Amino acid sequence: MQFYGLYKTAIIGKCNTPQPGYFEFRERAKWDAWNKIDLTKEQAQQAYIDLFNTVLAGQNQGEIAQGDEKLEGVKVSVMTSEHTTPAASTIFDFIQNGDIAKVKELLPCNSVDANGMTPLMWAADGGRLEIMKLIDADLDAQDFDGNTALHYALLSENRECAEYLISKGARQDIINSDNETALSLK
Amino acid sequence: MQSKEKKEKEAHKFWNTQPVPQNESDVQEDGVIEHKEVSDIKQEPYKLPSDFEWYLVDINNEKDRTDVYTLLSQNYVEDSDAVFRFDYSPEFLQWALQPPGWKQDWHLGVRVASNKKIVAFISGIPANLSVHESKLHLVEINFLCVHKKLRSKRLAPVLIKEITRRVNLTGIFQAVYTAGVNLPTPISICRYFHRPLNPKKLCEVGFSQLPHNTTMASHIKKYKLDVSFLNLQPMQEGDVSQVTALLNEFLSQFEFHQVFSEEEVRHMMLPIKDVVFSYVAKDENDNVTDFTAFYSLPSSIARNPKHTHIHAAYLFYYAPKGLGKDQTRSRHLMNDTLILAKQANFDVVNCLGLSHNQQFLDELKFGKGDGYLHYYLYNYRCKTIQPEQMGLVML
Ligand SMILES: CC(C)(COP(=O)(O)OP(=O)(O)OC[C@H]1O[C@@H](n2cnc3c(N)ncnc32)[C@H](O)[C@@H]1OP(=O)(O)O)[C@@H](O)C(=O)NCCC(=O)NCCS
Repeated sequence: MQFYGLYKTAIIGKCNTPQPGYFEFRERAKWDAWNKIDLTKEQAQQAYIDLFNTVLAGQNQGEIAQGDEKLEGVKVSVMTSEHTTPAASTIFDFIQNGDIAKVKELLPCNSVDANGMTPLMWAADGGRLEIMKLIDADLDAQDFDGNTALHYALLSENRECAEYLISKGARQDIINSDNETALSLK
Repeated sequence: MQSKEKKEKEAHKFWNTQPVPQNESDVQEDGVIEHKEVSDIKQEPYKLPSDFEWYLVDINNEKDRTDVYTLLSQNYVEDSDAVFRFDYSPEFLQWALQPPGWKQDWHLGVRVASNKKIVAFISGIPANLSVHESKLHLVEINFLCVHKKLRSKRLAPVLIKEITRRVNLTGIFQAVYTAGVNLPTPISICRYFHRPLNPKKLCEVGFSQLPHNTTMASHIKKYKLDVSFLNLQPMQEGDVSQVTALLNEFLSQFEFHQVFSEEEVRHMMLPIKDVVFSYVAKDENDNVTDFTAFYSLPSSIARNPKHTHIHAAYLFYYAPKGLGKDQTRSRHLMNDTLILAKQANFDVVNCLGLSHNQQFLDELKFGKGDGYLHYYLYNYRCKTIQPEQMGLVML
């Protein structure tokens, strides 16, 4: 049953369904196993493998809950994200998410983030041309790494955003801390 | 019958009837489960539901090849959200299904009798394994696929039984197979790892996520590859015998591994455009010191306005100078493998956390996947293999 709980958590995440009725013994036991696991999806995936390996190494044999349910594994594997994403709260988050309505509410905005990045830089980095067009700010401001919005547009391979900045007259000769100018990145 | 056993029987109506360990406690020591003779095997094929017929695919015939390709590309393995689906190319299938000793008898399709459309497929190819020192001549079963409209009708068990019968008739009684699903009973479970080469595209298609508060600019920089260490050159015919020796020596360190003949290496490892990529490094006397190979397995992407495929290179076999004892060398070989995959325009390099791969995964910025591959043996008990003791990579 421990297997089952970890498996469910690994595949679906924390227990997210109501507890089955008292007389549904089988369902109830499964639910209890799942609900007992207080791990993130990621932790549960590792724990499942660890448990599998110890069980198969010959210990814990009583714990195996074979064939409790047809447990579909993931097939084409994709990357798990190693970080949790907090709910968007700053203008920088909203720009990163492309939430134009929220960004409009918060503009104009002169603040920079912890790395000295302006909203225009975040928009250029994220390829958010529409948002860039809403922002009226110093095109050549630099963050703590010396990057301008144009550096970001080029480093993140957003051609259109770079062209837009150049058409607006952004300088191409500013050097960042990696000794790169917009010209050298083009 | 005790209630627990009964429950298990119901849970795997098919696999409970097959010569596979039903649970881990079944496996006290390695060995054959059911001893059979060719004369025990029935001569007639298993019956299919009426309307369907067996069909041996001629993979060298363009029409058949396209038909199997179409079946797989529309119905084969997907991710949990059905966005990405394996898209093995027709040329890939032609290569993968014809190693030395291949048999058309093991390229088994099911057709609709009326319109001759191929709606299911399963295949076997011969291989030699070493399992805890025992040598097994067996088949690798792969490309099991049932059309989406015919799922859950117990067709897969008929395919499995029929290919087993055909293989048994040649005197082979063991098979190895892998699956994303948990069946009775895995001998090993290996996790997938992914190394972005085109990190921006991977974010755009939802294969990976840009971490919160991280710029795309720095994300791209993080995965830049610049320095290469070894002078890797495409493997050539003249390298076959040295590569065979080097690869077998490397693999022999693991409890569970494939054993290659020169003919197999010639077929499986020599480069084929857009299918398999392989490289060697040589010393000043022209002796092969290192070998590395990957194969191309794109995934199609559903519902994306900008991209139709992820071009994934899957790490295949490799053998570093020092056979893994020189960890720096192993990392250099893999670093250069990544550079070559990048030059060949792949978006990502995928591998499993098996054999010595842990030596380089972190350092070379592979990230954990959400998929696990389960390894199984048919008609052979085998004590659990830890991933780092696994030396078999299937296509
Ligand atoms: C795998 C596939 C052929 C199974 O067909 P299906 O219609 O879902 O299942 P069926 O009703 O015919 O048969 C079910 C039986 O097959 C078994 N089965 C399912 N997938 C299996 C697999 N990959 N390998 C071996 N057996 C498998 C089930 O466990 C079940 O047996 P059980 O009752 O003993 O547990 C089908 O789902 C498919 O084509 N999926 C996409 C491709 C794929 O995943 N291929 C396998 C790659 S490893």
